[in-house]
Amino acid sequence: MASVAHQMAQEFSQVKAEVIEANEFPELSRRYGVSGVPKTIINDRVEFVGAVSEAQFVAAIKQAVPSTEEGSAPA
Amino acid sequence: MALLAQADRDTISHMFEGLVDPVRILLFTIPTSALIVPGRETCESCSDVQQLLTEVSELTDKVTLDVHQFARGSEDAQKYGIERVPTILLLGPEDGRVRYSGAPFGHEFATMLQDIIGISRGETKLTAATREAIAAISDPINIQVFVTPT
Repeated sequence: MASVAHQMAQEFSQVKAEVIEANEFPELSRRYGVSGVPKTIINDRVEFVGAVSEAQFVAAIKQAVPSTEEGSAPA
Repeated sequence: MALLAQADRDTISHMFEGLVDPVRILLFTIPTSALIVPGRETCESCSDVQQLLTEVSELTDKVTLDVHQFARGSEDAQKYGIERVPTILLLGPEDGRVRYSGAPFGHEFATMLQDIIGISRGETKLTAATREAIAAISDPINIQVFVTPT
């Protein structure tokens, strides 16, 4: 997940990706309820644990941003 | 003592032959101390991380390491939004959006090397579908991935 997140940040200016070593930041890990890794959190809104496919990652990102609903353009 | 064995250096040097554009590693760090003083920020991995990144940057002219002493709220820290140490930013054209907090040891070391190469070459392995989907989103996307060294 770390690698895909970083590649997204590399390519797209609207993406920022931070890979965090959970043991070194116990307070932060507690705040985000990290009990298993990798744990991915997007915009503090959507999270998942474990490895997922790139397509599933993208689906999670879409859930985490307000404006994208595929196929629906503003009227 | 070096953290990278000679065989590791050879492997990484070989990987770095494919580098194109310069990549700057920005490390925010504080001195590692064995003493825990209440109220003072501590960083167990900082000195090892600095040594590792120094060794990596010595393997090629294309990678440079800038070490910044972290002070909470300083101009530097604010500019890059640094909240903890060690934080490592990989800067190509993309301004610090690719970052690590904590030691990039274990599997993350391999990821970091791949990141450096990808940034230097301006390449990623994202699928066309991913590119299309992310390009269609204009809102900020802030991703945090919690890992442990394995």
